[in-house]
Amino acid sequence: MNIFLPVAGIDVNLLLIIGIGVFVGFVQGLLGSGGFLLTPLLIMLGVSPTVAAASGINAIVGASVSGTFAHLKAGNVDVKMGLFMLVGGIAGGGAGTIIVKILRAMGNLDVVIILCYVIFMAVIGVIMFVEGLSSRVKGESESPGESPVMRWLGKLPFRTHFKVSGVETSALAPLLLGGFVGVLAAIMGVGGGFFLIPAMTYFLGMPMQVVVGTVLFQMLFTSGSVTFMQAAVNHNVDAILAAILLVGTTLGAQLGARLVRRLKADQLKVAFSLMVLAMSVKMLNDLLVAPAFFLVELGGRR
Amino acid sequence: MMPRPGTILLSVLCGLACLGPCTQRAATSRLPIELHTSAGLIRVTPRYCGELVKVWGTVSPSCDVVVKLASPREPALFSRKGKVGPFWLSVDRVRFENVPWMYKVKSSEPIDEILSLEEQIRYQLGVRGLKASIGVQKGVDRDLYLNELIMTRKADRLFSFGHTGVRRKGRSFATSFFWPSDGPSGRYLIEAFAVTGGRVAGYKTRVLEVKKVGLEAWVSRLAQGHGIFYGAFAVSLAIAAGLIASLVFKRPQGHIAKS
Repeated sequence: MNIFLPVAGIDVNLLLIIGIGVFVGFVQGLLGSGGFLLTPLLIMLGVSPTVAAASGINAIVGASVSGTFAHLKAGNVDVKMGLFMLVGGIAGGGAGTIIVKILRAMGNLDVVIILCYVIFMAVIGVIMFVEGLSSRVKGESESPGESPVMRWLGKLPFRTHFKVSGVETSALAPLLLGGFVGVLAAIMGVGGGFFLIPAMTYFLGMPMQVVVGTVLFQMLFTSGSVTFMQAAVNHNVDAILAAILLVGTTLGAQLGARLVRRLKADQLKVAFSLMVLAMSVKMLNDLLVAPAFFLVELGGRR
Repeated sequence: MMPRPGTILLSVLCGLACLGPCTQRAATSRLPIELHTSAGLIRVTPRYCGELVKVWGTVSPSCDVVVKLASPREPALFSRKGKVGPFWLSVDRVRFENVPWMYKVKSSEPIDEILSLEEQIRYQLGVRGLKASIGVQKGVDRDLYLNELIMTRKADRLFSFGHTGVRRKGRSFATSFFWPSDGPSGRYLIEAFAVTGGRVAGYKTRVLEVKKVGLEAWVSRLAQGHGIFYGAFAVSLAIAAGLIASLVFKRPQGHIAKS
């Protein structure tokens, strides 16, 4: 059962796309992060890296909406912190969108996106591998202690109190975190939870529950604005692709959340980390191998 | 192509003089040829995944037939890949003029055996005819870049030069072209040429229109032309899809979503 994707300009098997969604959602439900797999899997499917990244961030809008509502209702969102991050996120997303436009005009956008993923997945893969082996998955978040980053953040000006999180830190901290994630959202199409959750737990010392709610909150709005900017500036968002992926991720997240207690998370983490490392190596290899043709058509045809 | 008065006179004379095989009527370039296609319009819908377009017609049995399918010509911009450190990056740009997005040609006999080079170039038939019609940016190796351009398009299955592929039986001929799913919308020309004595003796043209319809058309028009509205649409669609999907696959009670 094939479907033609209007912006990606290719026809793909509908079940394959839903399958990718289910897999990514499943990993996410099981291990807490997995959204970063969306873009590389779409690239491997034949979607161009720029459309894959922009449609991936579009899917993240839908994937974070119901969770955001649930956490808002439960009082787990530090709205003040979230808004600061959001301002940073929109600025970073705007900058990222411009970077995408420039790199695309130069013809090197695809290489940059893939290279970002090679590095990124190598780091994530190694971290997960070590975590899985040392089996400290549970009870990891207690007493973070004073890290150098925390001390540096503590020296920044514009200190303010975040009531819901119960922390006092510089307003620049959430702005910088949000800005960094915004750039990543535009270039790579990731929501940034894998980075924000540990960063806010360890660097800002926020309670885990509030971190998850606040990250979802900022992710919803940052991904929304990045989708909007990408669509307006770069015309590379495939909304149909994103909507199909969402059906899969929601279903997969349910499966993952239900099976999480029955499966051994450590072993899964090791297996999963090996898969991520393999994907990283494959993408690196694609960059190093001489292209089949020395001429490549510059985009904008579809 | 306006026939010159001399040609018309000649063709009338020839037509009167010889009712024989078409070799003798070669010079007329008015040889009747019938051309039909299985589709005049291809609708690109969400279920679209390419289409086989059948082409058939009739012509004098002694003629060879060349069938060409081509999209309108336009400039094409390519980047040249070069090795920078360990990576292959775009290092340069090359501009081609007059490049069809799609170009496919099939014939009843290999083109070089039935058509002179001048005629191949005049009617832009075959690899040599196509190459001669494409402009390459000054200062680069024309042959090298043209070959590469043609190879990339061949790899994408947008160009093909079948040495044969047109079936003949008596007066009739038939062939088919596969229309790829990523062929952009627009008006394409399908032309059939009656060939004899190394020259084109007559031809007929049909238009094939490829049109995105329904949701496809709406989405791609919006995405390209109205980015701001499309952005709002994409965000709303994702929110709606996310909410609906979460309602359908409702989470167990008391479990807080951790997307």
